[in-house]
This record gives sequence, C-alpha cells and structure tokens, in this order.
Amino acid sequence: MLSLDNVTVTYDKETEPALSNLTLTIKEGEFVCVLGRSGAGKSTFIRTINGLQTLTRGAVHVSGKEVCQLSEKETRNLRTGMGMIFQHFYLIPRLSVKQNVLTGRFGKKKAYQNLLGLFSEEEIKQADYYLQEVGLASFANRRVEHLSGGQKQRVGIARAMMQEPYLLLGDEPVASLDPSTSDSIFRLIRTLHEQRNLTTIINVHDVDLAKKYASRILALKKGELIFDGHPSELTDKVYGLIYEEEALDQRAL
Amino acid sequence: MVWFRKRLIVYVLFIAIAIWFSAVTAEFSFVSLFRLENTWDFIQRNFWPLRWELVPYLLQQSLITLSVAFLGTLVALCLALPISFLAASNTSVSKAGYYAVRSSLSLVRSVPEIVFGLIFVVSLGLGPFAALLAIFLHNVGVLGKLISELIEAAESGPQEAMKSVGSSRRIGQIFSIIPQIWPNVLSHYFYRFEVAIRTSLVLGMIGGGGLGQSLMNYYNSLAYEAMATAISIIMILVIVVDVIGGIVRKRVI
Ligand SMILES: Nc1ncnc2c1ncn2[C@@H]1O[C@H](COP(=O)(O)OP(=O)(O)O)[C@@H](O)[C@H]1O
Ligand SMILES: [Mg+2]
Repeated sequence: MLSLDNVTVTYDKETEPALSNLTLTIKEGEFVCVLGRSGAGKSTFIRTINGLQTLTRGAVHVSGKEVCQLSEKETRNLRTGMGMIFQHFYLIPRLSVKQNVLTGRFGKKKAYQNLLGLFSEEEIKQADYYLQEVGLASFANRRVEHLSGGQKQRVGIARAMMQEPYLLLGDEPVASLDPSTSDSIFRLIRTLHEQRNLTTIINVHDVDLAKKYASRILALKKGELIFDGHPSELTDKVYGLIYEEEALDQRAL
Repeated sequence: MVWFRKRLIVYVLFIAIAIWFSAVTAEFSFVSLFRLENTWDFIQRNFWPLRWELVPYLLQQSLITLSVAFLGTLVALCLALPISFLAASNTSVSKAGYYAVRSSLSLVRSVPEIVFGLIFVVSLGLGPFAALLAIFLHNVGVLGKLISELIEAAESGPQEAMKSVGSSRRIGQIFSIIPQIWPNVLSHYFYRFEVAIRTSLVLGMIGGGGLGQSLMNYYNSLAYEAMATAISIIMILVIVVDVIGGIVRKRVI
C-alpha cells in the first residue's frame, strides 16, 4: 500500500542528506517500528509519507498515488486517511478533550462547518466512542492543558482515530512519557491496530517497545536504512550498530 | 565582565551621543527643572476645591469618551485579527502580499491619531464620530502589527497537527494559532483600549466631543477647578478600565 523509491531528503546543500536513497515497501496491516538515534532521520521519514516533507529526489507512493505530485486538495484528501500522533501531542490549547477529538474531522468537512463547530450527531457519538476507547470518557469536557502527558497522548490518538484512518503514523509518541505509560500507550495502539487491521508506522527509540509490539522493525542511521526485518532478527550486533557512539557525529545531539 | 562584549562599548557610545543630541534638541535644562515649583504652585492655587456639582454632567461626557475608545478599538480588533494573518510571514498569502499588507499597516500607523482627527473633524463635522474613526484607523495599524508578531511567534506544532488531519490551510491556522495567542491578544487589546481613552480625550480637545471637549472648554475659560474635576474623573476612568482589563485577562488565561 505504501512504497518509497530512492527517497532522498536534503535540508540544505552543505549537510549530509537526512534520508538517503531509501527504498522500501510497507504492506497493509503491518505494525512497523522505526528505530534510530536522534538525528537519524526518523521524523523526516514519517513526514515524507503524509507529504509534510518534500523530497529532494525519489518518490513516495501511497495506494498507487505519488504523494509529492498531488494537488493541494488531493494532499488534504490523502492526509485525511492518515492519523498522526506526535511526541509533544500538539493538541489545541483552550479547547476541551472532546473538542480536540472532533478536530480530527476537519479534513472531511467544509470550512464554515469547522469554523462554527457544526458536527453531526453521528460525529459527536463517534467522538464519545473513541474517548471511551482510549479511556477518557469522563474527561470529555476538561480542557486539555490540565491533562497528564499520557492522557494528552490518548487524546491525540482519539483525534487520529476520528479520521477513520487506514494508516496511523507516530513520531516518537512516547518519547516524553514514563516507561509504564509508554507501554500502555503502545498497548492501546496495538488494540486499535488489531481491531481494524490498521497499518501502523511508529518511531521509537526504545528498542524493547519496538521488539514487543512491532511486526517489523526498520532502523535508520544517518539517513540510511541499516536494518529491515522481523523483531526476532534484531540481534545484539545490529543493536550495537544502530546505537554505536561516534565521537565525531555532530548530528546526534 | 564575562557578560560584556567589546561591541558593547560601541553601542554605549552610540546611545550616549543620541542622548546628548536629544537633550540639546529638546532644550532640556536642569534650571527649568527646579522651576517646576511654579507648576506645583499653579496646581495648588487653582485646582481646588473640586466642583462637585459638575460630576453628573462630566460622567455623562465621560461615557462618550469611553464609548469612542471602546468601539473604536473593538472594531479595530475585529478587522486587525484577519489582517494580521495576512501580515505574518508564516500565514501570509505570498511574499509580495506579506510586504504589501505589512507596509500598509505601518503606513496607517505612521499617521498620528490627531492628524486623522483633524481631517475627520473637517470632513465629517465636529463630534465623537470623527474621534471614533481616527482611533479605529490607527488601532487597525497597531493591533495588526502586534497580532501578526504573535502569530509569527506561535508554536508550529499544533499547525502541523492540523495539517496532518487534512484540514484546509486557513482553518488549520485559525484553530492552531488563535487559541495559543488569545490571552496575549486580549492583553494588547486592553492596553490599546486604555491608550484610546487618553487619545479620545485629546481628540475631544480638537472637537471630538466628550470629556476632552469639556476639559478644553474649561481651560479656555480659565475654569481651573472645573478642569481639575474633569481630570480626576479621567484618572478614575483609566484606573477602572485597567482593573477590569486585569480581571478579564485573569479569567481568560
Ligand atoms: N527543518 C530542518 N531543517 C534543517 N535540518 C533539519 C530539519 N529537520 C531535521 N533536520 C536534520 O535532519 C537530520 C534528521 O533529522 P530527523 O529526521 O528529525 O531525525 P530524528 O527524528 O531521527 O531525530 C538531522 O541531522 C537534523 O538536524
Ligand atoms: Mg525526531
């Protein structure tokens, strides 16, 4: 359903590419975790998939369409089908939990409906359902600023689910959460993934989480794909390769 | 001296020259400073007792002043809010549009309210409406600039989240930026309102009605006690508005 062909992203000409010649295919229903040190290109990789990042060379195809060739309207359409969650949640402050979840519908509605908050009864019900699903039903009317990190990420997940996505992207969604909260977030994601065969691609830097939940692990290093396989194939040797220190590696800050 | 760099000496020298030059140009003199007792004498001899019987009439006049300031700045805020999105580098239509809107705003701002006031008093006739228009125009320029700077400084994360939900550019910007900057927008608004009360007084003096006009009439007819009464009411007015602004801001944040 998704393929990258020789994808290269260079932010500015002097530096090394953030992604170089990445070629891979991801099939429907996979649970992919992307490992790599900070600066390895994980975020850049994720962002090429929903067109937040333009490519220097190569192409990304999603369901047969080339992401970077789409018109603005088509790009919006594409993104509507992809939920995305973030390390810092990126919720809308001053709005309630439920209002935040409802913003997940923005891609499917007209501007005036979004502006005035005109949601159908069905959409409201759906928001309630997803809040239930992520365990925040009793928080529906709280303002999001007052939630804990784990709760905020659950709101982020409910917002993404509100899109009824066929693909879930995560850019280090648990990097600012404690280990047990991280695990519960991953459990939630796996439940959603299994319920609807939701293709899932998530950046993590915790190898144990990746091994526990992923059906496939990718590892990036300096923008290059250095591992692609089943979690059981991720040996200590590969692990060492991904995370080995380099005295002169200025990109890893 | 680790905090100070060598370049600082140049800055200090430059500022010192500017201070000296300004002092000369403004005919600053210490001798006159000691003659300020004349001013004090004048105030003591003429500003007392207050003319209490004028208070009801002056309160009525202050209502005009207040209305001019309130309506002028509020309508200005409503217009400045959309304009500021066009005047911010991260949300403008195009580079050219950005510069066009920015420079129109500073053009409007560069005309002092009193100049607008003098023009409108001639073209529209004496009365509060001329003052209202002058305050409105100037504040569109000021608030447009201030809010566009808030927009430029807004955190980009929520904007990214709205993009990945598939929302349109504008809707995404409105939802991700306005809630973030809203408390600051209100702060700016209340400050401008406070300033507008004083401006509305000055405009009253040139024929814009309200308390300013009364003040000027008393001054011209040497009715200094009446003038002092008007000034006291002005002071109370400004303080009350400041307190109300503080309360509103606290409730919003
Ligand atoms: N907006 C940007 N402008 C310039 N360089 C960037 C930008 N974003 C990322 N980079 C660089 O690209 C490389 C990969 O970054 P990123 O994809 O964020 O890695 P990761 O998510 O694995 O930490 C890093 O060297 C980073 O400094
Ligand atoms: Mg990253």
